[in-house]
Amino acid sequence: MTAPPDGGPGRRRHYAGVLVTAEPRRFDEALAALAALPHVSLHQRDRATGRFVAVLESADRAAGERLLVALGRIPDVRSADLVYHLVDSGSERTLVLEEPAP
Amino acid sequence: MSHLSRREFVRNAVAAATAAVAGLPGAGFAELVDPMHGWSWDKGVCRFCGVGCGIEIATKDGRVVAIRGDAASPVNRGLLCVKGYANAEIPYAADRLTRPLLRMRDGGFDKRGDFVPVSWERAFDEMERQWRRAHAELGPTGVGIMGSGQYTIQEGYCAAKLVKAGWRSNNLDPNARHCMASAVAAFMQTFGVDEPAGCYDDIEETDTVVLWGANMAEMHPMLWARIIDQRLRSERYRIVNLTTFHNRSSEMADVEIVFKPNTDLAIWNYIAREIVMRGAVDQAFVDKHCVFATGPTDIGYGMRPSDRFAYAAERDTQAREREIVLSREEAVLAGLDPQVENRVPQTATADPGKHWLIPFDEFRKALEPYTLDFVAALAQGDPDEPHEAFRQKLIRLADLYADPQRKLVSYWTMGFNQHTRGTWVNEQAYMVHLLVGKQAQPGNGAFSLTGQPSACGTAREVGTFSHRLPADMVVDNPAHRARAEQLWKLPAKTLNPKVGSHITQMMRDLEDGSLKWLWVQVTNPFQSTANANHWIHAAREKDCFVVVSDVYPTLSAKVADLILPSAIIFEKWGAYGNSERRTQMWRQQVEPPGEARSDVWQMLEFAKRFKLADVWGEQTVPGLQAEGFEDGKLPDVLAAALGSGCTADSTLYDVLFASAENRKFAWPDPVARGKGNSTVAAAGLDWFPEKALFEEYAQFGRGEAHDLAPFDAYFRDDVRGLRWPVVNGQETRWRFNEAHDPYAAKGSGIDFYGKAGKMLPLGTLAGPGTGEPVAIPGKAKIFFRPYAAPPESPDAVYDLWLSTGRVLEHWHSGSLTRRVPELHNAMPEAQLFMHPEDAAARGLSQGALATIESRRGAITARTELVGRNRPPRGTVYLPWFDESVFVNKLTLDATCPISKQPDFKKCAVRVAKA
Repeated sequence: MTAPPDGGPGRRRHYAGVLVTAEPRRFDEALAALAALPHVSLHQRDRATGRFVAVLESADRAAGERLLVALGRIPDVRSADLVYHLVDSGSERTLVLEEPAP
Repeated sequence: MSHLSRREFVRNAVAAATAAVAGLPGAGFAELVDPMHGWSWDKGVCRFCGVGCGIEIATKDGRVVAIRGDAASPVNRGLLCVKGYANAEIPYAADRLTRPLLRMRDGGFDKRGDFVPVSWERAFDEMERQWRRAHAELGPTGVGIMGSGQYTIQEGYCAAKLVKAGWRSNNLDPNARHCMASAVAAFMQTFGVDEPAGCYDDIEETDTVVLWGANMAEMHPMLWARIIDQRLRSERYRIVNLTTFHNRSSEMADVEIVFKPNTDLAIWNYIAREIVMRGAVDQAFVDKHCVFATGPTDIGYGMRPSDRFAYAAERDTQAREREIVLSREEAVLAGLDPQVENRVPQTATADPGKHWLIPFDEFRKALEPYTLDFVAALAQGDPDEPHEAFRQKLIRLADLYADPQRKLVSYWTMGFNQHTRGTWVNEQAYMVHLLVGKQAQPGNGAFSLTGQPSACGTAREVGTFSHRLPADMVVDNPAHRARAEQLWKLPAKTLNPKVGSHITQMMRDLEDGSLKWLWVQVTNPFQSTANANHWIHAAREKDCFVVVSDVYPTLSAKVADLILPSAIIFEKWGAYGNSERRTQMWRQQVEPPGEARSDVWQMLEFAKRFKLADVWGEQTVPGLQAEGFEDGKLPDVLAAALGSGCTADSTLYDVLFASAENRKFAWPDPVARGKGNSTVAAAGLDWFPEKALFEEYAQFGRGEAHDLAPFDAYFRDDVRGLRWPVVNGQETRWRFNEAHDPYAAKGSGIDFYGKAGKMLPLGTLAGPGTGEPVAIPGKAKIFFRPYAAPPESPDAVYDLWLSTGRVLEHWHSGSLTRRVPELHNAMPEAQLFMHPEDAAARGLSQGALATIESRRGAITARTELVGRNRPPRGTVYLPWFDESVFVNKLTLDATCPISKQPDFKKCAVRVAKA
């Protein structure tokens, strides 16, 4: 995905977790259309019900909202519901996480 | 070890949190989101619509910093619509009201003055002075409060007790009158008790959903998400959308039926006729649980009976309150010659809700004219749709209702309720569901959705309507008044038996000078009431004093004489009740800013201004003779009050609110878990008003099939609201159903146990007979209600239908959502949705500025020809959230004569290039 304009280090970033429901028979088309949108990453998916998770990343709330509206207007998308919204003002640094046990 | 950028980490965590809510795999990161911020989370409920979504609120350093859908909520299962997370934003816009503002000039109050910040004491001084002036001149009916379906339960209860018990006025009415009063009237008339039998679980229990005037995709999106989920999982699941224009709900519907305004009345009768003629009646269910009924038809349209205040252009519509000329279709249905002018005086306007029992044969006879040919010709809403296609859709609709192998839920909201025959059309939904036995059972039922977060919990259940007392009781029933007086520890005959003014009537009262003091709480009525030019002029130009309590300078605040700054949802303790009878509570999370105060505090403090002698002596109230009082007099109850422990110096605060029983609810309380209470802090109390008010109110419903759980139960970590009646700790999902509702009689199967209106005379379609009334315990009524034309239809001058409503991004008058940047940006202004051919005929292109004019006013808006709503030729749709596109200057203040709910969905306008 393309990184959103963020104005440089230390600026707040907005992340919106969106549950997308697409027409199951048009699942691949909906995925492709979404993947073409800037600042959108695709995550978990369930082909049987046509649902998948998208995360929208933006420099401000208004931009995030525009993304959400654009996403909802994709022809094969039946609904796009915001599930989680987070504003991160943390600095851009590398996190070191422990691997989960195998 | 793995190395992630912070951005990647947060992105994955957000995805995982979202997936967890949706039940999708890969939710491992969710728990990592919270600790990195050190936020404090608590459960709550969304401030906006009537769905009642559970949310979790994060606070840090005295501010709300985040909102997320509550995955433990059975309502929304962690999902939120775009408005949901605006809960975190709505307290913090730059123009938040933080001080009382009084119109002043030269140091004193002046109605022509500018708003000047004043102290709370100065504000209450002027409020009190003006209240006494209005009360001295007009008595209890000269003062009133406009309340809200957004009141918390405690606020509504506080207002009801202050107005009805304290001031002995019934001029308390909520904006919920605009929202679901028709649903209330129909519940009471059909079942003898208010509120739905079913619950949201019906969505997963059913296999057929029919929407009638309910664009759930935009107005109830989280319920719509559940419906879509079912539709995608099941090939059998069917969705039908009946609407007057194509909308977002149509896009997922299997069948879209675009009908002409008001013809829903005829479509229901066609379905009923099909059920009867096909032999699809569930005879055992009907015989055991139902009776047939009807009522008068010449009931007017709830408009003023006189045109004294009408603009010249309004007079022809207004005249239909007194006499109508039947439309061709109405004449045919009445068995009259449609070629001649059939004038019908409206003679039943004084008692439009009167009804009586009829035999089944009369019911069947009444349905006979509603054939497919007749109804299809009358009801087709899109002139460009092939007629045969429309006919086939009606047949398919009837098939779904009549099929005994299908479960079916009918949902409706404002399309039914905001209707000059709103009570009738609600009753017709029950008519069909009862005929086929699809009511009060899992997956089967007619279900009225509400628009506001506590339209049910507060406006209806608490009884903030001008005719109501708590728990479905009414002021004009002597036994109900006696019970309320007993629970409120009032002397006998304290309560006023005369129904007060409904919200539209209160506006008319301001205009004609019979109401001179008005307090507006948690609502924006000068924007939300139909035919608004009249009411704004009255408030500003007439001899009256208007107080508005709000969090932002709404249009109503600008109209007011005094503005009081209020606390908003998480700045106070509260409780809401949603559409499925679910009561949900929240703790205060943050403090209100500046001098903003909770509405409960405002009412408690103002109550201290009144001694019993001010209000409980003899009062002049005309028209009481019918209720068994001496005409014109509400008796002196002061002596009786003094004999029961009150003193002459006792205030309404002492007697109504700070009673010894209420003061036993001590503050601090362990249930608070350390959270604050802005009411307690501002008033310097050692007791817990919100808990005391709730527990006092709950007494009304316990043992009366309206049982609420104890206050503390709603704050348990494992509880996400409880659906009443809550008996022995168990909530009730399907009322009247013996398997689910402990109030249904054992062995009954289904028991429609509501008590109101269960003694009725027998009669025919022509009218009631003269025999003794018949008792119908345990029965629901199947009403016959005819098609009726609306009071105003397009004509040669005003040639288009206008419908109003909401959009997804904004809620109600936009006073909160327009202050949230992302919602504002998504829908910055109200647009005129219009058919491209209608636009072209008027020289309008996409985005062009248009003038929209009715008999009552004119406004401008930009045309939208390709948007989410696509009206058929002949209809335009204009949302009402935008005060700068003030659609209620155009709308007609006609109401359902029974429910007094205005019809915002249809009036006639003309559109031209601006």
